[in-house]
Amino acid sequence: MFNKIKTARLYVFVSMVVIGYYVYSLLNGIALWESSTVTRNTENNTGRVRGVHTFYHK
Amino acid sequence: MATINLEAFPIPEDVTCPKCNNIITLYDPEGSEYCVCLSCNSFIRFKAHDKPIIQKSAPAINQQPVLKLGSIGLINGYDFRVIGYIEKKEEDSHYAWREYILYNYAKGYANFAEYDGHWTFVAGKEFYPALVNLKDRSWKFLDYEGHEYNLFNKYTAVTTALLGEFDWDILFETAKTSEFVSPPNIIYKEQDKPGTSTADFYLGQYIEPAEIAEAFKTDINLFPERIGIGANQPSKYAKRWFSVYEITPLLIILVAVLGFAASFIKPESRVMDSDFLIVSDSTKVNEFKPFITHSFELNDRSSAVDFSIRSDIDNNWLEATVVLVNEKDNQSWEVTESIEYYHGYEGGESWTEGSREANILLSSIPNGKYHLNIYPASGDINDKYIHINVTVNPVVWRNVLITILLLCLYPLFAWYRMREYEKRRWMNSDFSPFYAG
Repeated sequence: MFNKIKTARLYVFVSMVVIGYYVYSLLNGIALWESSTVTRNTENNTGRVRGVHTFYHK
Repeated sequence: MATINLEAFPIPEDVTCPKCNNIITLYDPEGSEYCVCLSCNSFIRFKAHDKPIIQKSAPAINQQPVLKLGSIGLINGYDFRVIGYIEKKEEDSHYAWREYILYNYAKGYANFAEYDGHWTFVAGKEFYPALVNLKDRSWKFLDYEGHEYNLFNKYTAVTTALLGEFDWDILFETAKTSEFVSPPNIIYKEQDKPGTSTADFYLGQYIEPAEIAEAFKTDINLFPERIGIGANQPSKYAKRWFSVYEITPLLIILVAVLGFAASFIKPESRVMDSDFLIVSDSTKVNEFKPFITHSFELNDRSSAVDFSIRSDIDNNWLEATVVLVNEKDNQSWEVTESIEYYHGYEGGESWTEGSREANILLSSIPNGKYHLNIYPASGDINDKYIHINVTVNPVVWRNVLITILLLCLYPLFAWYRMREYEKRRWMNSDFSPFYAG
């Protein structure tokens, strides 16, 4: 197995980086790919077409 | 028969060509029965202490051998002396190759076969005893020591020119040969050799010219240039592919294990599971009065939050703009999701379309106290309930799938490169698994 890893060492290194970010995303609730039903920050979402209602938040 | 079971090379002896009186050096004088005069190209038969007889005139060689007759080199742990050089071709085609007869004092003969600059070290059962038990699995496959060998070529080999000494009448030999490959190895199956009714098997191993040049102290620049891909040339692409083929499943298992572990470290929890009565806003078309949900806490430094909206709409639609509001700093996240559900009976069949539920996932939400502002709208203006679920730290399956997909990209590329290489290798074969007919 050591020889196999040595042969594919670049692949193993990149895979470890990918898996590392996967773990980071798991622990921080990050979606690696966003879509219409999965999104990260919608604060500047301009798609809203409804009227504006104002609430008071403490 | 080659002289074997000795502890050193026999002392060379000189014989005189009966035609031109040239001195011919024999490196295995007891074992060799035929030789070629370097001066007049006579193919001479002799036996120890008998008078040499000229059999016929051997054709002149087309290429100068790169290994000198009489030179000694260490290959695969055996000392070999080059005692013969043969040029061969397929009987019915132009494919030609060269063979160097190697003699070892303990085991006997082996040879180097060179075709288009690709070299193979070939030896029989004296060097590879397992060849004795080799049987054909079918006409296209052989199994040898746990490896499958595929038929690559079938031909009848004829000798076109030769130098050196031999223990058999090679000039008149026409062996029917089948080649089975499993790079870097190749098995030669020879049939219909004079005096034999069964097949003989020989194992060949691809060998780099540099290794031969170093072993026989020869200038590497004299070796013919390598052309194309050899039948048994090892593939670096195959090596890479078989490496990642074994590593990738382990990485995928690691991804699953880490995902499983993370679900323990940050367990999924439901912070809202409530029905809300929405009341129509008579001043606006299709709109309902907005409302605020109760508060909930997100305790982790950063979390994914999944919203599920469900309503018992019937042949209608409902849209809700959901604003997640941080009660400390008013930072907000806003998403709008629609649900539509229609059904009917048409042409004797029931049908449904859409769903009464929709999901939205907000990722990377910082910790804090939050509530939702909901702005509903619907085609059905009657008051109704909507059910809202909020789940913190849900399993984000797309992360698992994307990670696995990323891990599989290079293996797919490696497989493609390996396959293209093998395709080019098998272009030289009539039995290619890649091309039918």
